[in-house]
Amino acid sequence: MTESQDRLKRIVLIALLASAAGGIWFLENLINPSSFRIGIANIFTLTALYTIGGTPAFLVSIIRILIGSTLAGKLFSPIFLISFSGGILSVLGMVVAKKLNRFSMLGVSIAGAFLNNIAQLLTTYLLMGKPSGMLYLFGYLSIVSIPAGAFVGWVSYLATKRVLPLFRR
Amino acid sequence: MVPLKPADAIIISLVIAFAVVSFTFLPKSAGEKFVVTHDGKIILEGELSKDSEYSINGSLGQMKLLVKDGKISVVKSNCPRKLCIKRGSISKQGDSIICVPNRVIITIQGKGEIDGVTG
Repeated sequence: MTESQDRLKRIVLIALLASAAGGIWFLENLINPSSFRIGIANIFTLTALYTIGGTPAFLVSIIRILIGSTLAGKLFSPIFLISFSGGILSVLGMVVAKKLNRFSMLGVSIAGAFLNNIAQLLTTYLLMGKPSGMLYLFGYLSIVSIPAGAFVGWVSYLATKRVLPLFRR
Repeated sequence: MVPLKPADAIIISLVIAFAVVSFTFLPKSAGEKFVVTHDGKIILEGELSKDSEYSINGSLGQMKLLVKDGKISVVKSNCPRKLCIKRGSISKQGDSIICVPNRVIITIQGKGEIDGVTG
């Protein structure tokens, strides 16, 4: 396989993952608008991270948020900023966790889910100026991020196994 | 089948530790004061530390609130199902009693200090 073919495959994969993630993110928001979501869209980010690397994972995450919030009619609204902060911090954390080479995809995914919650709660807190009533969510969201992150990590593991062969020469 | 690694335990225990810490320190601290709104407008504010009885006017007429031992409850209301009375007394930050027929909401708030952080 030539280098330009490889490059093309990467670009196509990023586009595919990001657009699917945007749609899924929007759907999950419709079905479950509460704070306690599984974060199915993170499957696509994680799959990108483990097949084509950290920068593509960032791209998938950012494009997903742009697409998702455009679909929801919330582009550049506070909700957009909250998602964006969560996306950036969770991808950063997952890239670092993967680099450490000690954690499985499930562990990396849980770290991502957890960091996503932290960033989103802090951003909400700062944007809304709403103090006490909201911070109690921290603990509950952290607990929920363990099974949710593990589920996402496991599905991503299955997806990665199928996508990876495309990039082996 | 599930590809866990031993080091994952570190991440999971960090998350659990964080949750435990935030359960212990952040949340559900006892409230300091209560705010009562009718139709979204604040009609009464008070300290939970002072035992007292208050009368307020809801959409269906007079309601009586009782503050005792740092807790507040509704003791009299004209609403048909008396859910606000059955809700019992509340005392924790963020808790609320909502009487829909009377359009009255009682919320517990904490100290103002957290407001200072966000400016």
